[in-house]
Amino acid sequence: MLWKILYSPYDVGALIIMIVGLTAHALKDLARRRRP
Amino acid sequence: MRGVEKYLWLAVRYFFGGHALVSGLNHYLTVVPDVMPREPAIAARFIQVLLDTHLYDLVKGVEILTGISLLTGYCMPLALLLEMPLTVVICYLSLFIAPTPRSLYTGPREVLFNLFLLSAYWGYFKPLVWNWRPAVWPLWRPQGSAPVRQEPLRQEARQ
Repeated sequence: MLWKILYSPYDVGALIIMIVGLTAHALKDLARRRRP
Repeated sequence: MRGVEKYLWLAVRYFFGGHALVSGLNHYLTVVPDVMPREPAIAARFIQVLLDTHLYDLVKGVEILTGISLLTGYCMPLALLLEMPLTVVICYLSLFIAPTPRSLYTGPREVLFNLFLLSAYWGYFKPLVWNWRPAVWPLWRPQGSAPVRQEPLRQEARQ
């Protein structure tokens, strides 16, 4: 039941985009911190 | 913004933007069948009228532009402002016209995410909201000119 409420193909697409975007930002932040 | 605040904002921004882009593109490309309310009849009729008048194409066009804007970071306050009427209509349909267990969750979510993202740009909207009687500042006046108080304009109209 809960799965039916939460699941939608649009949400899956949005989640993938969100994870890619957040990872890119996190990597950029990490690279900035390592730079002297 | 920093730390948790930054990443929370980014997560909502990418999710909302990604959702708008995927939903908008799916209307034109139809990767998965579009989710339309079939019941009650009034909701189905409403969607049918939007489709017949091609207003639905416009709605999906705005969604695509909002998605691109949120994912690239260009013109985000304007895109969020344009998206707001759509999310309000989606939420109203989801809560009051065609409620389902899923729509009761997604409708308010859309409005909350849009409002949250808009609130991150509060500084831009503050002068619009708290300026009760703003002076006119027309596009057709020379660039860089100051806003014009309404009283002189009324005199101009009398002359």
